Amino acid sequence: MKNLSDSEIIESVKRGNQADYSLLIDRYKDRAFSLLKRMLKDPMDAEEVLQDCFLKAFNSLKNFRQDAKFSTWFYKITYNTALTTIASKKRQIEKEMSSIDEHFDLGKYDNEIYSKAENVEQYVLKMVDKLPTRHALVLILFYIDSMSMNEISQVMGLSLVNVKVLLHRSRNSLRDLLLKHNYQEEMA
Amino acid sequence: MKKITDEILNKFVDEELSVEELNELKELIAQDEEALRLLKAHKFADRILHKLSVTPAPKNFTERVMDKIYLLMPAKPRKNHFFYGVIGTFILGIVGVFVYIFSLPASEPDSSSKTVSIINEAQEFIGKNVGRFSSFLSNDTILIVGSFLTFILLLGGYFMVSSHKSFKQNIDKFIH
Repeated sequence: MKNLSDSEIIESVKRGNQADYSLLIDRYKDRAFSLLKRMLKDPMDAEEVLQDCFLKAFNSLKNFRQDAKFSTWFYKITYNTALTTIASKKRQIEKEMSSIDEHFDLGKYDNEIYSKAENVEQYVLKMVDKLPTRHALVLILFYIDSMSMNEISQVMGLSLVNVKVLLHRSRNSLRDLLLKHNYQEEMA
Repeated sequence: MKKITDEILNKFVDEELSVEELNELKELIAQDEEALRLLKAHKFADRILHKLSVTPAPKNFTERVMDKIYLLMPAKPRKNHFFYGVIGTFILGIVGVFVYIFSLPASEPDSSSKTVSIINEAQEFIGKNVGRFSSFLSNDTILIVGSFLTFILLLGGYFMVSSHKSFKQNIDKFIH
């Protein structure tokens, strides 16, 4: 059963085998949870929103025509639900999500994280947490979910160019940190 | 290619450089140590980012979502044997009454006289035991009206029970 493709599982659920939906949940829950935890900054909120997203997806499954991948469609639901939650909780949405032209400065976190990190990997991955939300999300979708930039642009409702800008800026800033701390011996 | 840029570095890790651009880049890093350093750092950052890990969802998450889904799903419509039973019995009764009424003047004096005598005996028996109801019950119209009223009563009972059931289900949903 676990080797079924997403579309086979969806067809089975549409035929009335609701229990098969648990296969889709198992397949996407961890990655979606990582995304939500990063966006909402709170594991409890992330879990609640994730449950809501899976219920929304289940209820809309009959309308899902499989023109796009299930993962893209589901992440779009997840991303939009998270944005709605952030807005309803009146967090700093404007500050964090409004513009891709935002400039960020990782320097203010650098000293603290650098001094605590046990190795270069841990240092870089902790710095990812300090990136602005959109930049971090693009990295997660690109590196964890192996999504193409085109799929990321669909999920986040951004143009392809803007997705590339976010990804490149994040990489560039992390590279500059590596150069700053002279991690050359490990780069070979 | 005179100078290595962020755009070229990103195209390099995304494998978007053409063969020509790739050859130019190779020439450049062979001559420029700073360009080589930048390229190595960029590749290293990309390599580390591939190690970004997922945060597992909380325990029993799938079960909790599936429980909610089962709760929200409408119950499968059950075949309503009781309803069809009542309707069937009523129709059979009506048909029986009509068949009986129309068969009375049939050309079989023996069998009809037999039936009549059975009815008379029954009437006598009812007359002995129930007295005044016997003449009342012998009227065919009263019988049909009685059957109809019984049917209405059964139907009313059925709808009352089913509305009670759906009310109980709604309360259960609300509680859970």
